[in-house]
Amino acid sequence: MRAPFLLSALACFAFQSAFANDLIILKNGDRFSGTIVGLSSGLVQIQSPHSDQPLSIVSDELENLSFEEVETIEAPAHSHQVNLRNGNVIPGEVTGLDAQNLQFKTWFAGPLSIPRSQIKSVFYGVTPQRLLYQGPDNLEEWDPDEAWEFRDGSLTSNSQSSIAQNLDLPNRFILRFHLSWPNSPSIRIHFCTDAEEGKENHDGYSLYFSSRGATLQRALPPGTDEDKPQIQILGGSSKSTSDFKGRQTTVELRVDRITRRIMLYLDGELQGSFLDPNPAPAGKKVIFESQSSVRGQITLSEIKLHEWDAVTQRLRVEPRQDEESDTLTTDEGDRYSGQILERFESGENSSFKVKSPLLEQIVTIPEKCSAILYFAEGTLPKNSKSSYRLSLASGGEIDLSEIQLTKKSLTGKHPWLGKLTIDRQVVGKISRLNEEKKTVREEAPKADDPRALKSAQQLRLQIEAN
Amino acid sequence: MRSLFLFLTLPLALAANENLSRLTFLDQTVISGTVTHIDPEKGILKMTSPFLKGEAVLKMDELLDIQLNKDADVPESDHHALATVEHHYDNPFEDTIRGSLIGVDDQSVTLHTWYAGKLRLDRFMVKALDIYANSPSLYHGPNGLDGWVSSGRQLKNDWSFKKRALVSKTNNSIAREVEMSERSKFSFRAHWQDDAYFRATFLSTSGKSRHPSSGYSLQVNRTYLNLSRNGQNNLMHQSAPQLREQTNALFEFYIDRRPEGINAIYIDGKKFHEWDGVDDTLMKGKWILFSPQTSNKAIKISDIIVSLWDGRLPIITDAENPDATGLFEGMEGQRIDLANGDSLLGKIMGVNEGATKVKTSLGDVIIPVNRLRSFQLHESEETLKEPRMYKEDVRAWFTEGGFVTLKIARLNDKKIAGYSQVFGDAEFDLTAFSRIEFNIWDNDLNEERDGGGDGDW
Repeated sequence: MRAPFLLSALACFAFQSAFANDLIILKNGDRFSGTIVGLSSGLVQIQSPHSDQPLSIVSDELENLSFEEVETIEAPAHSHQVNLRNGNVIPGEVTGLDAQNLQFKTWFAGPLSIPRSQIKSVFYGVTPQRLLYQGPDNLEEWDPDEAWEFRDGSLTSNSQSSIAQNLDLPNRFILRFHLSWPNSPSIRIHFCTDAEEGKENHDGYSLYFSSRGATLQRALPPGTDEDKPQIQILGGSSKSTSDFKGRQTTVELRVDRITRRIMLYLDGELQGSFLDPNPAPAGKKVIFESQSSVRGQITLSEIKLHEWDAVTQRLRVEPRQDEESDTLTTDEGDRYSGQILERFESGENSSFKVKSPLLEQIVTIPEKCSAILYFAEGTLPKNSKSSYRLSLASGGEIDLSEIQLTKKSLTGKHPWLGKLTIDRQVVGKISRLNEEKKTVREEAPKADDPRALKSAQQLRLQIEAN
Repeated sequence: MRSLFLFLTLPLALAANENLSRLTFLDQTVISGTVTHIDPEKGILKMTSPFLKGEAVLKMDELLDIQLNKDADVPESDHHALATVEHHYDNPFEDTIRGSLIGVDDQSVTLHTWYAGKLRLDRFMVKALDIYANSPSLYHGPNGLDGWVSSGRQLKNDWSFKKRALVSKTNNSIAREVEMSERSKFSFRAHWQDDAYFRATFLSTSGKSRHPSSGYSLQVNRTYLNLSRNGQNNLMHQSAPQLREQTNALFEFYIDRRPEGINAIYIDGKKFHEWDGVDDTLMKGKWILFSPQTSNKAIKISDIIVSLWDGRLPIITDAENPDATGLFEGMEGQRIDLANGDSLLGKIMGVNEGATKVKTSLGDVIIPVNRLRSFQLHESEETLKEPRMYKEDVRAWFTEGGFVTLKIARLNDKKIAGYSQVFGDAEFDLTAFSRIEFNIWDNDLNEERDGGGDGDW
């Protein structure tokens, strides 16, 4: 009797709205688009526009499932993030800590009690980076004059020409895109400008990317009508095109107009953090200006614009000094190594007690000043296998097996945390885990904050001196 | 227990997946399985798949095509007759139906086919009838980017498929494997924007190199053509000044790999160069390859055909032979061209057991069908009729090249049946086809099927 009930429930759900752009890809390359309406009993149900009834796909054949990106999730934004030792990342709120477990509350999976030995770190001050733009989806939004070509989600230059879009850039943002070139790149990416096209950018930033490297420039408006616009070089990267495998790279610009600082990443590697000595430009546009007249020399894809919580980035790049003991890093960059004993609440405030081997007394650190908690490495439970990795729409990843998906929730078995019931709204993508992905990943971000250079020894000396 | 049963039975089901068909829809939904039933009136089909539970009922209104994956067992034949059907209305593509010629009368041309038995074609819809000693095609395309590889990292970054042609985006080459027999013909049409700068290679051992050093390479530099063999530029250095005035040209290679074989290259139907004394019997390469020689301007490659060749170079046509001009002018009867280049005027009275009876002014003669090359079916093109178009028409592509259009009536895992004004009702063995295109008169679907995008380049 279960199957008819399930199917009728699924059918009701399926016809609530038009087809979503959920996508299922099988191991053999088969693809199904439509609305994923359920996953249970070894089957995934999808309402396809090509069938009146949901299609039931054998889930063992899945490579991945991706759900149409939900623009706004009506859910609280967690500011904490647990990083498990198996590479899983779970956003939530720390509600307690004792000698054995961290108590962690999530809106999408309820409260979790996580053994400290399974936790690599806890980040504070994490807020979801709101996605403001993702594309390109068509040529018209960027280039009504069709000087470029749009195909398969990519924009390709046909000549020396600009494409532009007013993306309403906020004061702090992350602009990321994939850039490829067949021979020699020559492109200028203008941002924070209101110019119509690249060569008219007289107040804004530009990144010139060529075979010789990348140069970040500030275009300043002329002082008088007779003056010419000024160009100041803010910094750049000396990476040449031969340093990029496959003639492609992912460019990421992190722009903080409040502090007038711009960080440039190429393929996820920080090239530098550059300060604009001038007042920041106020423009809202992004312009891609191909400086090559050769057809097809520049191809852009996977353009994403996020709001940027600059604090988050800084905290994530704090390097860890000692894996034998716990470490608490404050948002001022101070670091306390030893043992994080517990979290306790006092009135509306909460704090951590930290015992340092260098200090006689136990230090109390307010939670609101905490940036990162690192826990000493311990014995991990025997790793049971997970078949899939769930990517959360709000950020984060959780490995699961025995997945069941219904209209409202997804249930699955986590190798360490056991059965989890997760709100359907947060489900972004489900991917089959291959052996490579199943290995524990290292977070080990690069240190680009000068304060990260303070060693534990320096801090200890500082504490002793105090 | 239900899911356990499912997982236990799955490996058995997947073991037989190699022959599955592959359905592709406009939104790029792709489903592998076996079509069990089709209802053209309701616009639905039923299929089973090892990846789906139960029988799926799918709507066909956005179905682009079904890729078939079945091995054909093509019987030997002493000749291959290829009937070219008049095109449908304003659609430029022409059906070609192949078989053995078994009958010709005033109303019909009858072919015996291994895949549909006897097909009686309406003579007034058959535009041309050619006879080949060998099967006329090994590859006929392009039909998309599938099966092609690029010398660059990503094929789609380097080449696109538009309007039945491969269009370069960069100077990386594009290649595919096509086995060429001892005697083969390789032809293609190249299009360029200002000047012709490209290289065409065949019998190469590599599909990933822009400048392969194995096989034959024709280098076209504006009007100067250079033909090399295994990297040695010793076969041809010759100018083709007419290319300066053109934006496209048809290149045809006739290759006989035996030491005593005669080889030739034709451009736009005219012999350009001939060579012999080359032993290519040990050449192992299977790649055909096209390389733009500049990334500034795109090239476009269409009408690629690799076919068997009987070793006889094309006969000189009347147009090329001033002495033959007006040879049969004003005389009554059908012109009949023979395989050896001879021509005669007469009337085909019938075909019986491989022999054609021809009535001529000098009396009746018997000509074996396999010694015919072609014969005139109509005294003027005005007598030709276009086949009617139907909403339910599908275009079924033969594995041997070419396609036939029919109003589909039935389809299962073994047969496809339908109707055409050309041959009436017929049932075809599905193994004869590599692909069946649906909704062929729908412009939106055709744009996607033909590669989409704006413009020709």
